[in-house]
This record gives sequence, C-alpha cells and structure tokens, in this order.
Amino acid sequence: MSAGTEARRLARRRRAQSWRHGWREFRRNRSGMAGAVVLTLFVVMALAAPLIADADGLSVTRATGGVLESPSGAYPLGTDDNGRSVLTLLIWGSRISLLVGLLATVISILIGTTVGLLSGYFGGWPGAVLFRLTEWFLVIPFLPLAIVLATVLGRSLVNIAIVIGVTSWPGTALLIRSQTLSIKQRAYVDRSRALGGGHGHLLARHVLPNVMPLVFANTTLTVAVAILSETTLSFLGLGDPTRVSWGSMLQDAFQVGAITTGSWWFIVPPGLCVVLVVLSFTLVGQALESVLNPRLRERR
Amino acid sequence: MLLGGLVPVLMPVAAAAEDGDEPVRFTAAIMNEVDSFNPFLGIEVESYEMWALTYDFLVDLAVDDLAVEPSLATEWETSEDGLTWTFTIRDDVTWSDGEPLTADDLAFTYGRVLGKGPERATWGSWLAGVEEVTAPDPTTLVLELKRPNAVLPLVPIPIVPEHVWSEVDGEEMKTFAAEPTGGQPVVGSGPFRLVEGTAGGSTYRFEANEDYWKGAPHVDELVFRVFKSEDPAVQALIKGEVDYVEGISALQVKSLEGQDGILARNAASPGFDEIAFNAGSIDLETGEPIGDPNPAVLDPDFRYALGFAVDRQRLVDTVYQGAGSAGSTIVPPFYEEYHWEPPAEELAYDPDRAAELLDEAGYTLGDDGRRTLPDGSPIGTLRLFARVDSATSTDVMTYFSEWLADLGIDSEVTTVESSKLTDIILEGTFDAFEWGWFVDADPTSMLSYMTCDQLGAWSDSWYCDEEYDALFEQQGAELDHETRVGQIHRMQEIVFRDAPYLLTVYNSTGQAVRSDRFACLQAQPSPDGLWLFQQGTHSYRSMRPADEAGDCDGATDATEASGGGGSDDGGIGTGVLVGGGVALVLLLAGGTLVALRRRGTAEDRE
Repeated sequence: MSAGTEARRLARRRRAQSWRHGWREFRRNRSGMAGAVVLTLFVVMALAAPLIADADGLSVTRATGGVLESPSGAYPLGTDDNGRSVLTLLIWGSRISLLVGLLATVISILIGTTVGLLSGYFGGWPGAVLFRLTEWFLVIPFLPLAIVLATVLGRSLVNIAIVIGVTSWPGTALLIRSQTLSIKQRAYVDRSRALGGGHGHLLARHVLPNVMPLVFANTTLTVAVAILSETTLSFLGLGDPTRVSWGSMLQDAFQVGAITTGSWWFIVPPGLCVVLVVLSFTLVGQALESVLNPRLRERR
Repeated sequence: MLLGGLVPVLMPVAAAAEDGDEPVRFTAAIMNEVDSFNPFLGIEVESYEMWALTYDFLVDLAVDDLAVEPSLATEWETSEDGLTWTFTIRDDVTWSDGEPLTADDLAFTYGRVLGKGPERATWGSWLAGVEEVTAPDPTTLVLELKRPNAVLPLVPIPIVPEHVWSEVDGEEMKTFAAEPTGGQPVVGSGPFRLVEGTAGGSTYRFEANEDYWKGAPHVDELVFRVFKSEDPAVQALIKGEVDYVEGISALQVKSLEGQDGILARNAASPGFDEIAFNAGSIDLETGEPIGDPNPAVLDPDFRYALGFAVDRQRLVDTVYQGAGSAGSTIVPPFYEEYHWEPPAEELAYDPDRAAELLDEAGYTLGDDGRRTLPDGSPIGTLRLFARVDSATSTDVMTYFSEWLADLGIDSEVTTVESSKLTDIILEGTFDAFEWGWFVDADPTSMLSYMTCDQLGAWSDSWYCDEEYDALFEQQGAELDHETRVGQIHRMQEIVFRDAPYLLTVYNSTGQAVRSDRFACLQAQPSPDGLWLFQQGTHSYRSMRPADEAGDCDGATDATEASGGGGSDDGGIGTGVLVGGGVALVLLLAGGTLVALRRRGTAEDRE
C-alpha cells in the first residue's frame, strides 16, 4: 500500500521534472519561443474576435465603407469589394483558418497514428497491408485528390477539414511506424509480453506512451501544412464561400481583380497572416521535435 | 530527319520578321472554352461567336440599331396569310473551297433543323410553324408554314455547305467536330476560317477570307486565347499579349480607363441576373410534385413580397460595382420596344412593405421572431443556391440571405458548380438559386423558357401558367406588330407579379481593347453596345490596325486609335508592384526562418 503511493509519488515527481526539463530546453530554442509568442497572439486574436471586432462587420448588407477603399483612420486596412473592413475580416478569418487547420490536424493525426501504430506493431500481412496503404496514399498527388474529394463531398467547413485530414496522414503514419518498430524490439516490451501482457496492454501501456511525444511534435508541424492547405483550397474556390477565411479573402481579392486595381490591402494582410502562422507553427514544431524526439536529442 | 523537317517551317517566319511584313494578328482573350465548332452541338456563347466567323446567315442585324438587314437573302416577301415566305438568295457567294453557295445550301441546313436529330434541339424554335423548305432555283428559297411565325425573317441559324455536311448522317452529327482536318481549314463562307484549334482547347486561330463577299477583313489573323480568370487576362492586355478582353469586372474597367493606349468601358448587353424560386417542381410523366420545395416559395404572394426586400440598386452599386442597372422583367430594356417596365413603387426597396405583404398572406411572425407558414408551422430554413464559378452569384445570395433574416426568415447559402446546380434544379431539391440569361434580339426564346412546355427542359423555375402559355402561342403567330408587343408586355407583367424570378440586375459587359494597336471596332447597338460578341461579325470586319485607321470608312461610333505608346515598353504596372510586394514579404519571412535556424544551430553547437 505505502510502497504503491510512494511509487506513484515518485513517478509524478519524475514526470514533473521531465516537463520542467523539456520546458527549459524549449526555452533555450529561441526560434521556437518566437514562434510560440506569435502563435499565442494569433490564438488570442481568434478567441477574442467578438470582443475586438463586431460580428456585424461581416454582414454585407450593413457594410458602411465604399468599394475597395484604401486604408484610412476608419478602416485601418481598407475595405473589401463589399465595403467591409478588411481588418474585421482578417480577425474573423483567423478563426476559420485556425479551426479548419486544427480540425484537419486532429483527423490526420488520428488516422496517421492509428495506421502507423498498428502497421508497426503487427508484422505479417496486416502490417504489410497497412504499410502499402500508407505508401499508396503517399504517392497520390495531394491537390488533385483534394479537389476531387472537395467536389464530391460539397463545400462546407467540416468537409474541407476532412479532405485535408484524409490526404495528409501518410507522413505521420510512416514516422509513427518507424518509432513503433524500434520500441517493439525493446527488452521491457519482451518482458511484459513474457509476463502475459496482451496486444491491447502492450499497445496502450508501453508503445503508445513512448510514441506520444513524437505524435505531439508532429501535430504542430501538421497544423502548419493543414492551414496552408486550407488556404490553397479556399483560394481555388473549394472552401465554404459563405464563411470568411484567409484563403477565401485571397480568392475574393483575386476574383475582384485586386491586382489590376492595385488594392494591395486586400491581398497582403491575409497572405502575411498565413505566412506568419504557418511559420510559427513550423518553428514551434521543430523546437518541440528537438526537445521530444529521442533521436534528435541523442545526436547532440 | 527531324531537323530537316523543322527548318522549312522556321524559315518563312524569320523571313517575314525581317521584312517587317508580319501578318496583322488580333488576339482576343476569352474566359471560356468553345464547346463545339459544330453549330448544331455547341451551347456556349464563345461557340456562337466562332460559328458567326465561319458561316453566314439568312439575314443580319444592323450594327447601329439591331434592325434586320439583308445578308445571304437580298430581299423577301410574305403571302397575305403569312404562310409562305419567299427569299431571294445572292448568287455571288462561294464557299472557301470554291463551290458556289446557293439556295440549296440554305434549304439543306434548315431541312436538317426541321428533322429529328440534335440539330433541332438548338435551332428548332426559330423555325416554329415551318412545314417545308424548298429551293426551286439556286437563288430562291421558299418556306411553307402551317401557322404564321412572328419571328421571321430573323433566323440566326449558320448556313453550312451541303456538299460537306450531307455526308454527315444523323448519328455522326452527334460527334461531328467541324474542325480543321489534315491541315485543311473548315469549309465556310464567313469572313474568317478556322485553321487551328479544337473544341475544349486553349487557343483558336482564324485566317481572313480575302475573297469575302462583304469585303475582305483588314486583319490577317484572329487568335482567341482562353484565360480561366479575369485578372490574368487584364494583365495580359496591359503587357500587350492580347489586344482585347471581355467579361471583366467594373473595377478592372475603371483601373484600365486611365491607361494610355487602352480603351475600356462597360458595354450595354442584353442580359439579366435573377434570383429564381422553385415555383412547383413536378414529375413530367405523372404530374406529381417531385423534389422538396418549401411550401412558402410555391406561393406567388410570398415570392412577390420578397421582391420588396431586395435592394436592387444596392446590388448594382456594390456587387456589380456600378456596372449595370436594377432589374425588373425578363425582357431587358435593351430591347426598348418589347420591354415592359413595372410601376416604380413595385420595384422599390421597402422591407416594411415586404413584412406587411407577408403578414397579409399569412406568414406572420411567431413567438421566436421567425415567420411561420399560414398554417402556423415554422417555415424552416430556405435553401439558397449560388454558382461557385461566379463571384457575383455568391455575393447576391449572401445579401439575399441577410435581407431574409431581417424579415424573420432563416436561410442557408450553398455554392455549387453550374453543372451541379442544373441537376439540383431538375430534381427540384432547392428553394431558390441565382443565375442569369442572355436574351436574343427577338424575345421569343426567353419568353418560351417560362412556358409549361419547357418544364424539365429550359425552364429552371418550374413556373407554369395557363394564361401565360396562351399568350405565348398568340404572340408567336401574331402578324400585327403592335398587338404582338402588347401581348409580350402582358406576359412580362404576369411573370413579374407571380414572381418565379426576382430580377436583380440587368448586367453590362466590361470590355477593353488596345486602341494603340487596333481601331474601328463598332458598338452594337450604338453608341454604348458591345464591341465584340455581337449579333453578326461587324467589328471583326471593320477593325483595322491603328496606323491605318483613318476615319474607319465613316463608320459611326467606331473606336478611335490612340497614340499612347502603350505600357508594354517599360512602365511598371501596379500589378507588378503588388506582386513584388508579396514576393518581398515572402522572402523576408523565408529569410527570417533561415536566420533563426542558423542561429539555432550555432547555439546548438556551443
């Protein structure tokens, strides 16, 4: 009894210690920190959108500005073709872009982790089949598949997330599979199996917890790709056009001829936001990877 | 071997360039592909333009006022009862392969249309009532009718050569491409002939017909290049890669207006955009309702009331950026005589009046602030469809949805491809959608789309009204012009009050031409009509290089040449600036990333 609590306390302390250690290491990575700061700003902006910018600003019938007005005191980033403030659209657009990015990532990571884990853990034909499936998805060109899927499924927020999720998981699956293969060979896994641990126990207790850090680091990198994909698909007119996202803003700008009319304020801000968010997710992801991925750490 | 084959091809080009004797080439940007060069198969506007260049017609429409004027037919007469039409056909026209064009070719072409094949689908309505077409001699064409036809002599069917097309039988017609084969241009009688290009392709090249019977064109070649969106086409015009763009937005027109060497404007064009309702989708065989229209949109009173909730002028100003005018009825004021204008107060934006009318019709506000059906049950959410390929379509429906919300009616906008929307319309699984029509010089075909006969075919609103149908039959056979105009006015009134369509905007077409290179494009109708994509080939024949423009042979309202050297020789366009700005931002971002990574690794090494 007392030995059990003692062990648990020890485990908790060690976990806290490793968190602190990881955090310290992350903080030493300056680019990772920069990314984290920028990211926090964007997340706060997305969450606080209703407080910063009135949702009425998204209404086309209640828009007050002129058609494509250049930036002024009243409209710091000018207006769009419907007379709405580009700043308001930008703030509310961050919600959709981030939401779709995260949703797609969850789908992608779920599929990728499950397939990678199972194909790595079970050798033989089930593993081979799953591995071939992964390879098959890996070689399908992303954009055509995404366009076909988006056309078939119809245009909605959830569908676009599904499209991105379904097309972007193979990378994760391969990574998880290789890690699983190496963990499977460890002595403690053999020991546990010798003591009578079933597949479920081994996967849940020994393999999954050990690939989790990798999944975590990979998630951050996947979000960056997902947001970029959302922008791409929305720009191609495959997103939900009734909702404002950065990609749909770029599409609107392109359709209304913002390049010819020289309305840079309609093109540059959403483009810049996408670049910044994708960049900071990548920086944070790389920093996390260097903290959490045992191989990268060992090399140092 | 290969090289030997290439050299002779390259030589003449180089020689021509040295002589400064390059062919005069007019390049036009178009936004859509030609779907077929076979005039019996295509449906796209671009295809109609290509046929007009290749073939001739029975009669033409004047460039100034769209009046009927002689073409292949020099004169015509009708019998007292209007049942026999006799046309005198020119005897000096030859096909491009040297064969003479005679009345037999016309009789052959019309005979094909009167047959059962695919030819009938596109052109049949123009020959309504025609029983027999004969050519008693090479210069006489006789049409025998079983009932009078008010549209004659206006028959915009391209005349094809019998000696070529008689070999194409019914089944072959469905796939006959009518494109150049084995290096031979398509046989036609028109001012140009297609020498290169295939339906669905991205460029089409035409050569001038130097022996054209109305006079040789002043340019040697016409090239059409397909652009998939407007901005790249406008940029190509600025850079001088193309000489003409069409279908550009009013904002683009405005930004081009100031440029040297470019003439841009919004031309009046005979078309409209509308919000259409499901007025009662039915199974054509059983007559039973199909689809699932909301009971509210089936009610003419409900639809009419919503007309007051649409601020048409607002749509013109914002969505269409000021190009166009507020819409009213299905025959545009472009055709002044046929157009019926509703009283101004029925076109006003008046949400209070809309609410009042809805209350009167039983669609009262429920406790939750949402309107209910007359039986007290909630209306639910109206499904509004917009076309994803049109920027204005989505915008208009977003506005409409917000106006409906102000009235207490929930709605949801879905955007789909045009082709998908056609399926949805035929299935009847919609409440409203946004689309538009291009209206022919005679309103018959537009009016026919609202008849019961067209349900499941060209009708997209499933509208069907007995009185309207009776009037449609009457006007088609009415030979007294005044009476016919009155009937057409009454038909517009019926449709306006029953409101299967809420017309939003009579749109205009943004066009721009390099006036430093080409001049003498004529507007149809004058003074502010279309420069190209007209009824007929007027501008293609009148246009000429800017330095040879002169007074355009006295053509009225022709574009003038401008001396402005154009901007293809140096000036940095705003597009370049913006593009450069974006590239710079990306470079900066990339640079930051690299710098951060570098510093990271340096740190790591310590």
